Amino acid sequence: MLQLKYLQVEGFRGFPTKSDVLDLATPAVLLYGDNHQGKSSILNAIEWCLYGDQCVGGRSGIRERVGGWEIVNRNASGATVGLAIESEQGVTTIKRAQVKGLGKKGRSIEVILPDGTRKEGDEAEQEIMRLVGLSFRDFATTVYQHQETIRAIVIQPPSERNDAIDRLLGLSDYLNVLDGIRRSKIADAQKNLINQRKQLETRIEEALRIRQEDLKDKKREAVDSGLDESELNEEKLLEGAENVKKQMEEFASELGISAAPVSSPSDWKDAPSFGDEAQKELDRLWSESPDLKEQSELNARRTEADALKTNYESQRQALGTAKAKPQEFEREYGTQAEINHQIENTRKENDAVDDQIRQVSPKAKLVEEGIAVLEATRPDESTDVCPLCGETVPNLLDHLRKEWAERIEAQVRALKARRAALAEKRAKLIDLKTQHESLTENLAKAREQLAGAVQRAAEFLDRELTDQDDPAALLSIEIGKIDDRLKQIAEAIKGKRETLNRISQSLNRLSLLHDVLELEEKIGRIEKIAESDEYRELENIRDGVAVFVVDVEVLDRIVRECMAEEAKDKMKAAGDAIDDYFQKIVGNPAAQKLIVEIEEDKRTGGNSYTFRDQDGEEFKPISSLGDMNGLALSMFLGLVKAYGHPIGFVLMDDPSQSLGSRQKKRLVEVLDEVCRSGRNIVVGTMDSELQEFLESSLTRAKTIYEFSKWGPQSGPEVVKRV
Amino acid sequence: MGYKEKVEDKIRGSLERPEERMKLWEQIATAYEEGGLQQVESMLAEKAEVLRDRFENVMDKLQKML
Amino acid sequence: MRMRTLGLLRELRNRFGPGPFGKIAQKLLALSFRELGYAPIVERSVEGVDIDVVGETGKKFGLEVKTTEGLSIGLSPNNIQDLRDRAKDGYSPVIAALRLAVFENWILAKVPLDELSAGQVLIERLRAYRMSDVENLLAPAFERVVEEHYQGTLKNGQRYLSEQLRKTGIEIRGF
Repeated sequence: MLQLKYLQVEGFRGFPTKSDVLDLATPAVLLYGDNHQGKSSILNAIEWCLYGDQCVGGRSGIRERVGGWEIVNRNASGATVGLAIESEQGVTTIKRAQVKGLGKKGRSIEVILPDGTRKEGDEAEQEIMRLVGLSFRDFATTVYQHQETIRAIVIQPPSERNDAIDRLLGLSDYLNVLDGIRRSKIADAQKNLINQRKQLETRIEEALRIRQEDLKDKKREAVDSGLDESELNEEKLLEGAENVKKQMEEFASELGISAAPVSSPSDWKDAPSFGDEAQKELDRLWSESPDLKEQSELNARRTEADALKTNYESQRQALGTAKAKPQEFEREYGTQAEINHQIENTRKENDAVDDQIRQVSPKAKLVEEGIAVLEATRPDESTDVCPLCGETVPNLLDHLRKEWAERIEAQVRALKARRAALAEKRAKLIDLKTQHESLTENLAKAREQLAGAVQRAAEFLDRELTDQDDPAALLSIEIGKIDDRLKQIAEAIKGKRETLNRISQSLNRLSLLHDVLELEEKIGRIEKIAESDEYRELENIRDGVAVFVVDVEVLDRIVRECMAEEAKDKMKAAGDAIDDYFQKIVGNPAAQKLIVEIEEDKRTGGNSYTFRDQDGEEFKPISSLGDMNGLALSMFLGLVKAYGHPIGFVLMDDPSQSLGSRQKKRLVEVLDEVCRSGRNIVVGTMDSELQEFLESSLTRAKTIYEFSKWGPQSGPEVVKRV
Repeated sequence: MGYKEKVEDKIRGSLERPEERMKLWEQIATAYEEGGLQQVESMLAEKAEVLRDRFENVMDKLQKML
Repeated sequence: MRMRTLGLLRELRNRFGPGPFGKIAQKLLALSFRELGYAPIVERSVEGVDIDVVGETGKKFGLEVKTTEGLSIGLSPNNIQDLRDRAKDGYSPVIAALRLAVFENWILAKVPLDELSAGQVLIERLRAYRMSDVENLLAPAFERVVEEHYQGTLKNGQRYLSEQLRKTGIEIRGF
């Protein structure tokens, strides 16, 4: 059997510096110390030295090691663990190292075999596996009792305890694979695709519903237009197109113009272009038909005649008005000569008044002018010298004003009033003269405009018009003639328009037929989607997805079956030993036998563990934390015993969690039994009561290491006590 | 015998597509060995993603045919 | 399945209700297998799998027939037991499932017995086990059969179809 010899660590987890060489060769190695003093790091170091990265992270199957579980101490640049193991061939030394921050490049492994051969890298890993002969999972189940595994069983609620027992039984790989499969949510991905497919179905059904309704409407329209339901086909459409062509040729002939050729549709899809072409040709024929042309010209001529007649009449009326106005004016104000004469008289009269003013007081004028000059002078320039005669008079302006007011003003005022009245009269006469001139001009203009209207009428009627003719009457006669001709043309057009309408209806029927056939084709096209390459590809992908999902599900089921079988096999192999250890550690007088039953958990599909007594009754006492720990330890030790591997040591980390005093004592008795069976034990514990029992009851030689005073830079102080 | 071999034994006895399932299992087991359950999850999810992309691509084409 | 066939089946379902329609679909399916040359064929209304068919090569299938408008079908423990029982006589267990939806056809899923379990099964999953070669022949045959027997079925329901089964030499067990 393989036995541990010694161990040295540096920079590994709780050890920032190099530790002393720890002697692990005695049957019992006991690691004492409070929490976080480095005990577990020693056990971890043994495991890491043997299994390297397998015991780190998610792959380890140990939940506490997922994320943040660091190999290299935070204050060290690298970790090195040296371990010596003795086998029948001699001592093998293993040295595993990891440099911080270098990834795989920073990892190294070296093995020196008993014969001195040195191996490195993969060869060294192979030598270790050859030596240990145990997978990491089995090592973690049957050699190293992890603190976390026991804790999980003890503290998990019953519903999740199954998972913890699975892990204790070394089924973590199964559980992890199942968890990875579950998390991939493959079935959800398929459901998502199913939903997308359903949406496509809805769109197809909706598209079909809408088109079928449109088709129904179009068919009804087609039947209403005179087509029979049985005629709604391509043959009828092509026949109808030929018929339209024939009708158009006949129509052109009826109109007396030649028809341009319209190309026949080769299938129903050509119907719209045929319809457009035919309609264009029809429009051309109609617009170029002689009757329609004449009708159009006559309508234009009639409009012109109407306008000319109206214009002539209004000009004639305007001339009448223009003639009457001067006559009326002269009657009231006199002729142009008379008004001129009055203006001349007024002028003369005014000159006479001016003379009188000058005669009445030559001085008045002078005084008036003098006042005006003096008032216009600035006050600071006032003078007593008369600006007109040069004579000096004191207070000249006041003197002049007084003289003006007392003697001259009354006479001058009367004459000035007379002069103002004459000026007003003269202005009125000039205005009358202007008005008379304007009326005379208007009359001339009206004469000219009437002459223009007559001239245009003459041109329209294509004859000369004299003063003896009545253009209005002549134009009325012409309008009557046009109307008679238009009536004749309208009669002629009516028959042709009926033909035109018939052709238009035929074209409309063709269009409806085309719409019906097009909708039928669209509906058919949707149905044909199922025959398309794309749809076939979709079907293949659906099959592929189904195969993938089913295969993953089947593999999931197989993994569960294997997990259940392995659990059962292990329980079968270790059942008696587990029962034995359970009785010894827990000690329940009512239960003479512990039977572990494994069934499928209907909820999770995983293993479900039930503990029963010899009578098949569920083992109720397994409810206290101490009992749970006792069960967990029994299972571990039972598996250790049942597993026939060559490793001659057991690593136990804090095994006494929640155990009562009696149970601790019994555990030590069991450990003594393990030691005596040839397996060395390495036990880490902070429990002083357990330490007492170990020291007092373990009958094999023991080495005790006490861990204390741990510091982040220095690590723990480790004192050896033999 | 490890978990991988035990599962392989059972797949060999499977009536339906044993070879394809063996291949898929090998991919799952390799992913697990390389990157734990997270890699199993991502490997399967990637396979599903490839199928989903193909599916959605064809669905787009079909939608355009309507 | 063509939209027209889907429309006819939906009308039959609306006329007779989902339960009887399931039996109608079963009989139409039996007639379709007959048209493909399968013989002998046994159609059951009560105990056992719904249809036994034997192909020209002598290959025997025991069919559990399910129709739905939804996405999944229900498999009862009895259904599975019936398939197991039939397997003992050399009939491969087949679940014939038809989803009444656009462009869907019968899926004939030859599911190994150890991969069958009772409960709701997504029809989409059955595609992993489909017998595409038989399905491809069955689909047009089924469309023809529906077209041919739609009026008679609409008028006289299962009675009409039972008569047709007898006429074509299909054995009916049950009533």
